[in-house]
Amino acid sequence: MNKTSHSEKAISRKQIAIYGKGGIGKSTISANLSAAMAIAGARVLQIGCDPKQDSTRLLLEGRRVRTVLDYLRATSPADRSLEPIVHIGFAGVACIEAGGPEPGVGCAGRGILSALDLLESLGIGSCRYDVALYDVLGDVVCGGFAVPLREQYADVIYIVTSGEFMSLYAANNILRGVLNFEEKGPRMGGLILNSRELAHENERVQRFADAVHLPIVASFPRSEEIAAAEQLGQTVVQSFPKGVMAGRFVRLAGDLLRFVSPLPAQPLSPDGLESVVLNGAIHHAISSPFVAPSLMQAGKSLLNGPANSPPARLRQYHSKSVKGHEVLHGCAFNGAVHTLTQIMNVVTLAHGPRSCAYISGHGMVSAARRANKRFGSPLGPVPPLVSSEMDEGVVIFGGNDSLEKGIVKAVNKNPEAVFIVTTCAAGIIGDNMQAAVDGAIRSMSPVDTSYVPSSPCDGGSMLSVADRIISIATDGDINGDYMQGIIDAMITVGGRFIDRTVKPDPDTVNIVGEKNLATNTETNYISVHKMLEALGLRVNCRFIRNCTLEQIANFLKGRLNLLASADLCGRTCRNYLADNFGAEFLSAAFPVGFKGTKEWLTELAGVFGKEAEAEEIIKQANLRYENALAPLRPSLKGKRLFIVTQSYQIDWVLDLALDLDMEIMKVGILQSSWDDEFVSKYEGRFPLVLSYTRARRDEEICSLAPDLTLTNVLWRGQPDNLRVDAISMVPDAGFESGVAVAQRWHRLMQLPPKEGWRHDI
Amino acid sequence: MTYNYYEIGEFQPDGFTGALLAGESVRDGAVILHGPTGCRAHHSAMSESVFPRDDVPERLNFLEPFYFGQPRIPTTYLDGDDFVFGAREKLVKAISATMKRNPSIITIINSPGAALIGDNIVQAVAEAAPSAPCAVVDMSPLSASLAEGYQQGIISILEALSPVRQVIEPRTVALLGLSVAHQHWAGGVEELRRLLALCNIKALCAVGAGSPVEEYHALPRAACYAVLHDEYAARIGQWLTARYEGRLAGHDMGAPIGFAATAEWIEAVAGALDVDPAPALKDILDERCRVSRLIGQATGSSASLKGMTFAVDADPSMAFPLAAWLYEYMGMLPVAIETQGVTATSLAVRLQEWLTDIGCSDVWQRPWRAAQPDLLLANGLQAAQARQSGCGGAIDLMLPTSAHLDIVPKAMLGSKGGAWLVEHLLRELSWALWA
Repeated sequence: MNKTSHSEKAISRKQIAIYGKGGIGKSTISANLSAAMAIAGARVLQIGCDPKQDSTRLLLEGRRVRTVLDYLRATSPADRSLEPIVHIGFAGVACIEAGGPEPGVGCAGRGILSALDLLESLGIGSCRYDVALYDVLGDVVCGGFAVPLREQYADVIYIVTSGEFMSLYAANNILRGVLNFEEKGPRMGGLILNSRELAHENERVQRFADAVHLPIVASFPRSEEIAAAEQLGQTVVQSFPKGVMAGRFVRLAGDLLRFVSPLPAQPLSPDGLESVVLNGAIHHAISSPFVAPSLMQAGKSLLNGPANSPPARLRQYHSKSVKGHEVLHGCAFNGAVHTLTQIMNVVTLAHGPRSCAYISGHGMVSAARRANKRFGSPLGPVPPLVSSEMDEGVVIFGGNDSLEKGIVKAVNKNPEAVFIVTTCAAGIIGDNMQAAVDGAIRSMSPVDTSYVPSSPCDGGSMLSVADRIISIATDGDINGDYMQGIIDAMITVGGRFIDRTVKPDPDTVNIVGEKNLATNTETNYISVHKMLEALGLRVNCRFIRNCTLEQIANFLKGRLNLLASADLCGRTCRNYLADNFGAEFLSAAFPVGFKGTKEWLTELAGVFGKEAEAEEIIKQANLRYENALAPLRPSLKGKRLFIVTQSYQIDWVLDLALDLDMEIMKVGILQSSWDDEFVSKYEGRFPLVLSYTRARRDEEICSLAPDLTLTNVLWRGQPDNLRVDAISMVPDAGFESGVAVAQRWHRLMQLPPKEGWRHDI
Repeated sequence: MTYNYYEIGEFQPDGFTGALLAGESVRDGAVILHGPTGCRAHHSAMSESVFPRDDVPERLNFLEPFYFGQPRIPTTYLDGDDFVFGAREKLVKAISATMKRNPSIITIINSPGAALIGDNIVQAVAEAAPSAPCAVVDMSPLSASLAEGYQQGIISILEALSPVRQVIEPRTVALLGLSVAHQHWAGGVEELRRLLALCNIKALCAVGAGSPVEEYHALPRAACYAVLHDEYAARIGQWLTARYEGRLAGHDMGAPIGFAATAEWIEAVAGALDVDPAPALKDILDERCRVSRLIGQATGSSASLKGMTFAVDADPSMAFPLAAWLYEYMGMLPVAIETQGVTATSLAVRLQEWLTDIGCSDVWQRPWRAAQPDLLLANGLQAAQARQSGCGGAIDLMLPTSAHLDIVPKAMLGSKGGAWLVEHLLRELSWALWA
């Protein structure tokens, strides 16, 4: 636990929070209580925690004051102090308004948290107030509005309510919120009835109070005095100090200051609330009250429709995790960024904190460096990625300003297109991307925005910048995992740019679904490309890898499409392109090993009528393959193989083992987040266990005692006298890849099973 | 079309990464990232890279939920539903799972998105691990510097541990302002402990640089908080001096990088403790002489590094001593000095004044790409880019991009650090010595 003491963080000696439904009169009651406490000699601080900023209006003669959040936004950290945000009102009451964003943007709850953090950091605690009174907006709609409930803030909580059902409903919800913050003991002071003069109102509130085991600490009837005082912008304590209402507030203030025995929050269930409070009288008049959780979602759908997100109908193309509602692996933002940045001459704008662009960018650069170290693959240019650099202030007030600036920054790099990809922070605060795009375009000169001068994919037409700013509302992982981001990016780019009027060229293929972060992607492409060249075939577009918008626009020039990987991600991309563009695919993905490559090449040659060329290539490869395997067989023949893998495509390993006359003892398939469909032409020929586990591996590796165990993840404590080797999740493509693996197995058989250092663990 | 080249500067880590690394800097601590898995993998790998620990006997033991195959920085894998409804239950389970590894402190850090949903972390900790010290970073300084987030994380840890005031122990220091993101930080701590020990000064704790919780509890006994990198120490120093008796000390030209800066840093710390620095100064001088002879041998009679150019992109606490050392000691000329956007601190101002004094005012905040230096000293990504773009040589100062384990301990600070820098300098620029 955080050991920072309560007294060190507390703003005052006594801290009271007043909660209640919006419009119920919290601010009037809070202001009058503050005034009454101040008259009694207490040093009082009232903090309004409501975005509408009117909590302290009656203490300040109706004056509207600068809010904490406005100040926070406008003032650099070094220049901040308490004076500009603490306003002295009637009887010396110190008044603060937390403030908040405009309705419909940002996260007001987060704003409350930031405002109270700032007050704390500026040393409000050292001002030595006797009492701090927090006036908090209605329902506890999200974590932010519950901040005053946290232990370093209110030590006692009162709920203002009338007898209306929705007011009592809100009161019950607030009790549920308080319950979540009672780890250090009870916090409730009681209910304050602010009457609407409804029939049986007092009885209804009393029934509720009895049911939740709380006292009604005061009742305030409708009062002309209060209305008259409000007309003057004052509390009744100030305007009518001798009046009946002022007397009631003075008494209640005294009670609150003396109160020392908080009670536990004991909210009712929804059914209980209705039956206890309403006694069934208007049971059917209230439609499902539990709408609060969807508020944010509803607001987002109304206000924040992304400019050009994938149409909903296309969202049948799901990743494994999204489809199965499983744990998400990585975020859609990252997957989309890693895909979009493969398109040359475009800029991807990461709308979110700098860390999101950093994580994505670093991932790409690191992958390129690994490929460069291992295979000498070119490092390429720095990925064209910029960040809107969202900070905490943006998180509170909405990020449209930073997004606009980011769009201008991206457009000024003069790309052929700008892709906006959103992070979860942007998704939660619900920025209106279309408004930001419009704002950014308005802020640029007409010369800059009238058209994009060099856009070869337009066929000579002049598209405006607005047409070339394309947003993808990945919202971090709110819309899915890494694989979903790849899929969404492909769908967006394909839907926006592939020209349906383009006719196929003969002897032309596209490559689809290459793994952009794998180290061997370029070498695999080179292997495949060599075979294509030998058949006289040309690559039209790599979708989406090191390609241009022009190549994407002319995607349909590709007569046939070659899938790089047949995992779920690859299959989903294939299905999208086949369903929407009639794209024709070769049945197998990039081949691995001799047998797979032979079959793949034979099928490919058949499509293009290049059988003779393929036959010659295969003949030469077969010769090399047999020559390479012959010296390896003596050491590997009869050796028993145990495979434990997360890879769902392992026929190339099985082909190789059988060609080497090895014995396959067992295949265990571990769960994978990347695929959901294990397929093998050898199914039924060996013991095969799907949903295999690490624990079972530990049991069986000793009892099976294989000569060689193949796995994707090596471990330190492997058994003595047993050889273990790693196989790649993304194996090398082509005829030769299996040979390299077999040569390695051969070397392993020549070496002691366990390296010396492993004995020292 | 004009296609501008994109600066790698777009990929600078921010305060979120800083806070996570701060939590990971406690040797026997554990960090829980309350956020989506997308925020996890990179930071988990980074933690393993910069602070390797012997806790990975079997990666398959660290799978779902929370670990996803990586032993550092378990995560609550927030999804869309969690952002709407909150994810306290997941957090409780993550804390329970993490507690099975018996950390001495847990640091829980909200991702940028999680900070918006306002889960009650304190209550989750109370439920899952009521007796464990727990630091909480509700909102990291987003898009701010790594250093800012690092300090916020460390202060949260200090608040959680709340070391008890104790009687000051003479001749003791705590090292302040070094992070696990700094190149060879562990060797740097050892080197400074060694130099201080020569003066009979004991380093009780290296705050944010690998000390276990036990050493944090010794902090109140430290007579002096010896500042290394000001950017990583200023706020922590304020926190400490407001609560305990130790006083701050450090060299006004930044970190002890290079022989001269190390000697001045030792003198400043020893002066604050009223201790004779002579034994450490002699050690530094001996190493300086040894290295000097080797530089002479390496450069030979027909070539020299003098007149070659360098650029630095680093915090002022590194940029200043490095620039001064390369200029005065190696005879190299600065052509670009950037300071990670830190331009207004007293150290940054002094660096700018120094550049003006040596007639190089135009290099202040000049991008290294525009200067085409012979040598760049910068973070790992920048250095990698420099090597790729034909820069004569590059030295990583922070966050190296490749996971090179230091089998033999190395340091960038202290007199051994000076020797390390010379060695790398000569290797990176060896092509110039073969003329």
